[in-house]
Amino acid sequence: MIDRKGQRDILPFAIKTRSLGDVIRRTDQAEGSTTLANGEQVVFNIETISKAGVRVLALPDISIYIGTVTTTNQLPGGSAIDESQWQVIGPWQDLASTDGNNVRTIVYVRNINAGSSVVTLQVKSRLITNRLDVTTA
Amino acid sequence: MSKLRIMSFKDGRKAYSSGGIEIKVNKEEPISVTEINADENQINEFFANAGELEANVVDGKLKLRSVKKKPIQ
Repeated sequence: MIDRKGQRDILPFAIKTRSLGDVIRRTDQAEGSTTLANGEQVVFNIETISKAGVRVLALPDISIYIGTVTTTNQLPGGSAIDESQWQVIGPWQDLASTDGNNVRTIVYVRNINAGSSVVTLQVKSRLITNRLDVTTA
Repeated sequence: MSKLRIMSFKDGRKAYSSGGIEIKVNKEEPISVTEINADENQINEFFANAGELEANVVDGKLKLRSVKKKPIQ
């Protein structure tokens, strides 16, 4: 007879799928607007910060409108929009402005020759963090 | 309650943000910033009608006013 060296592993009797709960959260909507004449430009800076100073992962959902906020005025793609009149750079998450505990997103919009127009940016960020005291600032 | 930020620039232009978005126009920072507490629906209405509503602070409260000119009779 051979002595057993350790206890038998406890094997599962049944396996159930468990979700992780509400892991992906969403910030409130933030907005910004200004008026641009031909040749003028605006830079929107969107920063999501962990007030507790812990790691945060944020994915901003962004829409830009020229004039009132309707689908026909969305840049790009709106039926009332001539994209050749606009230049957009970004959005991206700026490496130079983050310490890992914040996410800074930059969007540059330039009015090439659309005439005086109001540019409005709307954003909500989806985020993952293990502390909830996060703010868009 | 949310906050509407009213930014004034050197050339007299204004920019607006909620949620604390920072705005630079033509590479310039605003020369003054006013923050006003307002109902979220009021702020959403302001941005949804961008350029057609004017935001003013009256007695510490946000007042929205149409900037559409009346047609000449």
